[in-house]
Amino acid sequence: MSTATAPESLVTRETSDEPRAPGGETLTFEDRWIRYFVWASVLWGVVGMLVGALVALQLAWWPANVGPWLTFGRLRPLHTNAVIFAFVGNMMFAGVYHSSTRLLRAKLHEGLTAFHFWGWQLIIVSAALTLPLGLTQGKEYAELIWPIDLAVAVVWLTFGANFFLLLKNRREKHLYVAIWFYIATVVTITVLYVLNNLALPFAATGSYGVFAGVQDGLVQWWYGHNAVAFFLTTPILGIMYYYVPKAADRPVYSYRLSIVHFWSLIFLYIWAGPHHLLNTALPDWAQSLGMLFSLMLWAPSWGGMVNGLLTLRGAWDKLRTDPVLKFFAAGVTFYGMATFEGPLLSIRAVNELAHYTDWIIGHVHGGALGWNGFMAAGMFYWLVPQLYGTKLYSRRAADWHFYVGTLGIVIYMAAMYISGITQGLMWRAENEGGGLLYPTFVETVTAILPMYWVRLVGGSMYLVGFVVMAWNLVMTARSGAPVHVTVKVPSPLPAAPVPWGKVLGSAPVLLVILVSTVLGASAVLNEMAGASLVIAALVIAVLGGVYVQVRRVTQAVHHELEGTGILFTVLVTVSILVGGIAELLPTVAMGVAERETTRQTPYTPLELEGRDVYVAEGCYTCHSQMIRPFTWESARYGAVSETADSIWDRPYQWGSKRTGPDLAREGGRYPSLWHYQHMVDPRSTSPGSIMPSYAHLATTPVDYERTPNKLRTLQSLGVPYDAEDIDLAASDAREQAAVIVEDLRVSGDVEDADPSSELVAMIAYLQRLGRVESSFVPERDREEPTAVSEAAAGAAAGGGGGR
Amino acid sequence: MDENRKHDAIQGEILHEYDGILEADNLLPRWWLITFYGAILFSAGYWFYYEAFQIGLSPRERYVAEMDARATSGGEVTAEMLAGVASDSEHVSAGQALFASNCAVCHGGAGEGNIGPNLTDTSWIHGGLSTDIHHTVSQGVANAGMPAWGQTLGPRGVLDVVAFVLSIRGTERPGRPPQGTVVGPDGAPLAAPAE
Repeated sequence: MSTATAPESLVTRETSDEPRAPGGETLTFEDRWIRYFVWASVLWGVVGMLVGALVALQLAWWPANVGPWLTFGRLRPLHTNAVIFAFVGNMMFAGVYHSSTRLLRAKLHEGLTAFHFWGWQLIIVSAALTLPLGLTQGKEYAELIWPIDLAVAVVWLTFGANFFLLLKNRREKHLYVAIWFYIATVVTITVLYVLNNLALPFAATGSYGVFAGVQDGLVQWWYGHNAVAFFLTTPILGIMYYYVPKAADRPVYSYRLSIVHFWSLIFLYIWAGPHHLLNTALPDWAQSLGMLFSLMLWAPSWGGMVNGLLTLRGAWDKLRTDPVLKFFAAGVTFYGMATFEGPLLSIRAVNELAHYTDWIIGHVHGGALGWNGFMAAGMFYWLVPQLYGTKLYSRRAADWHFYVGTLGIVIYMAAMYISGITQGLMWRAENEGGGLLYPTFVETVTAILPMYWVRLVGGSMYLVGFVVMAWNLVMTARSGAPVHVTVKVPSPLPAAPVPWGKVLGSAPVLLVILVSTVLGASAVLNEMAGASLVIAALVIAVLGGVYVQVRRVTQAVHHELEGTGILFTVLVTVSILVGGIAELLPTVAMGVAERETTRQTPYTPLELEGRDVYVAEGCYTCHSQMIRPFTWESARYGAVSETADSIWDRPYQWGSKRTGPDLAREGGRYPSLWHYQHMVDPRSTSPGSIMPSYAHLATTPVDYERTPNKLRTLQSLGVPYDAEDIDLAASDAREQAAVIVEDLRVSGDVEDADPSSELVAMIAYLQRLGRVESSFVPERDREEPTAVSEAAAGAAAGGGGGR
Repeated sequence: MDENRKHDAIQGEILHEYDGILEADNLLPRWWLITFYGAILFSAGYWFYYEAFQIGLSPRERYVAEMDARATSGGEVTAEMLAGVASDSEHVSAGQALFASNCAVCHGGAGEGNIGPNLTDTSWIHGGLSTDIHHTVSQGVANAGMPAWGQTLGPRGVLDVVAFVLSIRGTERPGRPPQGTVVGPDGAPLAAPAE
């Protein structure tokens, strides 16, 4: 094939099933930005996975932590952000733009696309610079600081504008299923990202979120879970619907399955976030919703897998020879496994064992490496030869990539399952007479260290395969040259009124509205009345479903809907908002009410500074602050956590992984001297620990001059600091630091602790964790000379002191 | 769409074509529908059972019930009982192992003290009686940085550790200087008792 012409399939086939005027017009796609997005994805994929290999090494061998910039706590967010937003992000943009221009028969806006590309790369570079510096919001997959968040919002909206311009200028009237998924992606990510990042800045590099404690947790996982859904899943499903039938040259299995699984998927997904907070202090009803919607999500997810795999009917033989289909078939299968495991892990009893362990790490890597990574590889192996008008450079190398990658995933996941289940069982093992079988946390870490090495091997194999792919793609591109593809297009669409009444008044839509209304009403009523309404809703749903089925109206109405981008987008937006509103509004209202009654006092200025150090160092990547209601958990960590414990926490720090022990009730558990020595050399107090040394905190100063502004920012968010607290924040902080330094001097041989160091602030924070109020009262507030400083100076008075 | 593209031998009738991609319209697999409807029905039932009518216990309620049961099953700890335990070498050696893995970091491998006080001298900050020591180990001392080990080690584990501590009490290992109140050889206070 000549390098100057496009692949045949793209130029000769006409589109559209409508007998509109032939027009004879053509469009020429230059695809320059699509090529750029592909290469950016490949490059950031290598970078993101390299960082992944480094953090895997750091867990297996702690000296690989090079403080302060290259510690696990700072690099883990870099790994996740790079893989999600840089690798999959760029891959998704390439696929969405490429397939949409073809499916819609319209051209990208040059300026918007260029801005989108360079803006996104700039965001990635700034993320790679700020995260190792410890500039972070401390929320998983939402770590980027507020100026970068703003840039993300602008660039994402640019992407959205560009995409909707394609819809507006399209020559193909009806929207193919891939486009539905892209619409859901653009709309939902916008809503999620904005709400989860609402924050009030106190400096150019720092801010406090609008939500606190349990509200922040729920919003975070509503975001976090649906970032998985609408960034890592829906766009990739759209890509699957375009590239799998293209590569296999087979018809898509089922249009009606597309309709059913698309709408059920986007509607149900948004409710499932609370399954990340099972057995926590989150209200029980929200936990149940999270679990049940995850279970109901199983079939809609598998609908995508079924439609993808059964599209290969009649092409199974090609799997032997075509690396593209190998990757697609394996990727879709991994999607099926991950979306079966997800509902499984959402069952409370399973979650009890798996949560906070490596099982979850295994689960997400099944999705990330198997689904996202393999779908990306399949798409690149198909797309790059098309974009450069040539053939894949080496099919053998691509096959080799497939086998080494698959083996790498299997080794990775097996290691994480063994490690996660082993540790989960050790945590909960109790003696016959009560008490923990493994009372020392570190025992449960050293037991799984070998698996951390195995995981490093599996991950590295996957990375090697990916690098081979990068080489193969570069060689492919060099063997060809960028092609311009010319396609025939129908004449412009005639202006037609949006059929609002026809679609909204159709039986399927009315049925959904009716059932939702009855279900919604049941939620505000009690017991019997509510239960009867739920039963009524089920009956209506069944009868209505049968009616719609018998009359076969769904396809006809839906085809009408596919003809109008606006109406489609509106219905998608409504579908994804319902779940969020139903879960978030009551929880936020509950939080506002609890603020009025709580006994929990806000952090002192020094504790707040220490907390910000805790967040900046990414301690939450290894330490949770949430004690779940299990006997073996309270035995190890103390009383079960309540929502009040974290009511002033911005961001909340419940965490999602326990590589180290829970810290929710760490305050007062050990002397300050223990913490000092532990932070400088963790192995001096916890032999066998894999925690990095935080000796640099002892020499890094806290700027107390910025402390008043932090308190002021929190005050305007509703934290009860008074004017005096704010004005005297710096001197209060220094006074408390002096007490801790004196305690260190008296109780140990630490003569040189720097009162303005981050380490002292961190100790103040750790000693506050789990306490209703601080043990420190500034001199100006003391009603009488109390024993605070004496107690701190050695607790000579016996008993429990002044509690 | 060409007439000859309106049917596929395997996928059946073709409804649409987009950019050369043909779209068939096969029935939803029956097992898939059963999974979907089954999950919805299960969810409705679960919601009734645990949320609407609250027949089933939530994890928190189950936890509270279990803790209540445990709280009422423990026996009284007396000086006589502890003396018996301390004279039992099985308890002492089990306690030594627990001490090495949980206490030695702060109190030294032989109890000579480090971050925490020396346990081999005759001075005790929180009381030197065997019942005081049991109380300190079990409940901890919040402001002094002594964790509560009662739940972590369990009743039997705490007894073992106390047995070991009683066995090293007064052995006067060189280490951290004495702190607290001086007590007699039996642990009875010579000065004012601790709370």
